[in-house]
Amino acid sequence: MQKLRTIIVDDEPLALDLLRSILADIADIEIVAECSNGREAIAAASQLNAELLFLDIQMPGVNGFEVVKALQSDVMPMVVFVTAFDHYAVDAFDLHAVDYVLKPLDAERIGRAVERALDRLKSGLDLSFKTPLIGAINDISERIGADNPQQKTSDNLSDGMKTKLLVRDSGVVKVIPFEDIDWVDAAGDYMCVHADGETHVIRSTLRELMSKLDDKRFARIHRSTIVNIERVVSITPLQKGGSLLHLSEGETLKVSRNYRESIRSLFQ
Amino acid sequence: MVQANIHPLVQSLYRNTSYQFWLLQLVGWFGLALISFLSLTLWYDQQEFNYIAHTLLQSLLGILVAWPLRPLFHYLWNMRPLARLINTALGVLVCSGVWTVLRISTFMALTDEEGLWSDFGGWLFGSIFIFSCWAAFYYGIKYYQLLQEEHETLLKVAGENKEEQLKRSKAETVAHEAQLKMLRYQLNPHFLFNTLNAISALVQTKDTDRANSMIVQLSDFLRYSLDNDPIQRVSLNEELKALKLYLNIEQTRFGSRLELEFDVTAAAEAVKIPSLILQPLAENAIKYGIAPMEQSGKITVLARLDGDFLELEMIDTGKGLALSNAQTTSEGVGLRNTKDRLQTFYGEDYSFKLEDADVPGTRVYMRLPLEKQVI
Repeated sequence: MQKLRTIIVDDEPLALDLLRSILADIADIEIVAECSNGREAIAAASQLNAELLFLDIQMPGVNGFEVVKALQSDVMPMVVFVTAFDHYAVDAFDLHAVDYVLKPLDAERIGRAVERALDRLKSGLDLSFKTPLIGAINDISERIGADNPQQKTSDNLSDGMKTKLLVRDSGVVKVIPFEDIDWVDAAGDYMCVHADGETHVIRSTLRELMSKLDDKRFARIHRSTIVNIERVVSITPLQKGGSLLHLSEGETLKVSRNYRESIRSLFQ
Repeated sequence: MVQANIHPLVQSLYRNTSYQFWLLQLVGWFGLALISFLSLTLWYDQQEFNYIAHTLLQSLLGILVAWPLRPLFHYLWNMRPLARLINTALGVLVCSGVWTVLRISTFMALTDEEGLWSDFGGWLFGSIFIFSCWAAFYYGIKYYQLLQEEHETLLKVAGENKEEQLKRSKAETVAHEAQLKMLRYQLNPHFLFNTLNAISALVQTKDTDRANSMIVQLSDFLRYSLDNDPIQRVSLNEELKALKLYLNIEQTRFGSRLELEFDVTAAAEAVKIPSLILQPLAENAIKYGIAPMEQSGKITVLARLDGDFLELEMIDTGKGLALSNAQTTSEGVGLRNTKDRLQTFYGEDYSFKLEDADVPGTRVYMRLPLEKQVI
């Protein structure tokens, strides 16, 4: 049986020690990276082809939720959140069936989380792991942002707005011109719009969004991923026909074998 | 004031002005009869029964004639002074006239003496004198009663006021204490669970010495924060000991990411301050200054005396106010609580400043009076 390629992320060195020590006793786990902040976690997850991510939520710089939002849904590993105390989050995790473990860590509880991950992998269901995660994260940000006055996003865009996207982040509506979008990935009913180093979550489907976006500029590179081809600075071919796109913002996206033709035609 | 052990009859006499009136009537008129007997009857040597009977009879007639005066004076009570004086004099004159006629005619009938009508003026003079006295007594007593009544009401009102004031100041003290209790330091559960997780890590990796020292530090810190009465003051020295427990634990958790510096003068250490006033500030410094930074940071605590004031400073090397979000929508519950507690303790005599430090970071500055206290 192949071991689960696992990344562990926590900003506290002792917490990382404990997680490593507990996972060392579980035969199905192979730790491929240890990260002490969200930035390192994003880099590791998009390069190491990991299957499981133990992710602390409160971290300096990029927190656990932002790591999830930033990762391409097509290469998203299974995530187990690690948190000390946050009843908002725990409620939302339960609601969206997102796995989490509480600090202080319990070896038995972590064992169960690993078993559950193995089951999901074995069941072979073609599910996006990002969907429930984004659902939970969106819930939490809505609950926290509930104190702020909510503004309604207008669906009836005027002519001038046809080349811009409206996104709502904790009660504030931001306008994002299409050309500022670096890439977009879908997670169920949600779309993660990555622009200017930030990730905005909107409710939409990939088809809906594709119909609005200029197809000369945006290309589908995976089942759930669209990229702004003007952001691509280099391409690394992979063995099985896929490839990696490196964007000007430093992100790396995976291109599926099925979409390599469309990419090729766009660059001709 | 009426005393409880007085006989009920006397009590009702005291309260009921009608009883008082009739008692005074009897005493007055029969007193007059007695004086009349002792002076006139004896003087003129008229010791026969009829003369003595007349002395008593004229007192009885006096009571009857004076009877309407009471409702009349009662009626006059609310008139203006001059009108009252004139009407009173008229009443006195009429009663005196009637009484005189009754006295002379009964005297003549009882004693068979005749030709007394020629002495009418003398008899009338005596009558007017007596009824004037009656009127004077009536008004005098009435005024006295009124004064008494007002005095009692005044005393009662004053007593009630005093009681009210006492109640109010008591309520204020209770509200004050309740406020302080409400603003007391709340243990941060996030800190507690993360610390327990760190201890668990030390146990798991068999680092028993550090695990043990963490447990002891955590226990001491919990004891200090849970045992502490929010109304009590502690010396800055004690407060700093607790703060160091907390910051040392955080240092163990964050490893090389947290550096600490204390600069406290010996004179400042003895000053009494509200307990756990620095704790929320240190938690803010960690939460907004140190925790969000990937690289290492430093927290500096300064304390010194300046005249009659204690100056306290806590500086972190975080991103500063604008970037740390500590100030955006709410300035943090901990910070507001600290300010409210200072306000409750010191009124307006303290200052509290939250500002960007010279190097990137946040600086909290407090200036607290040494002696002055509100409660």
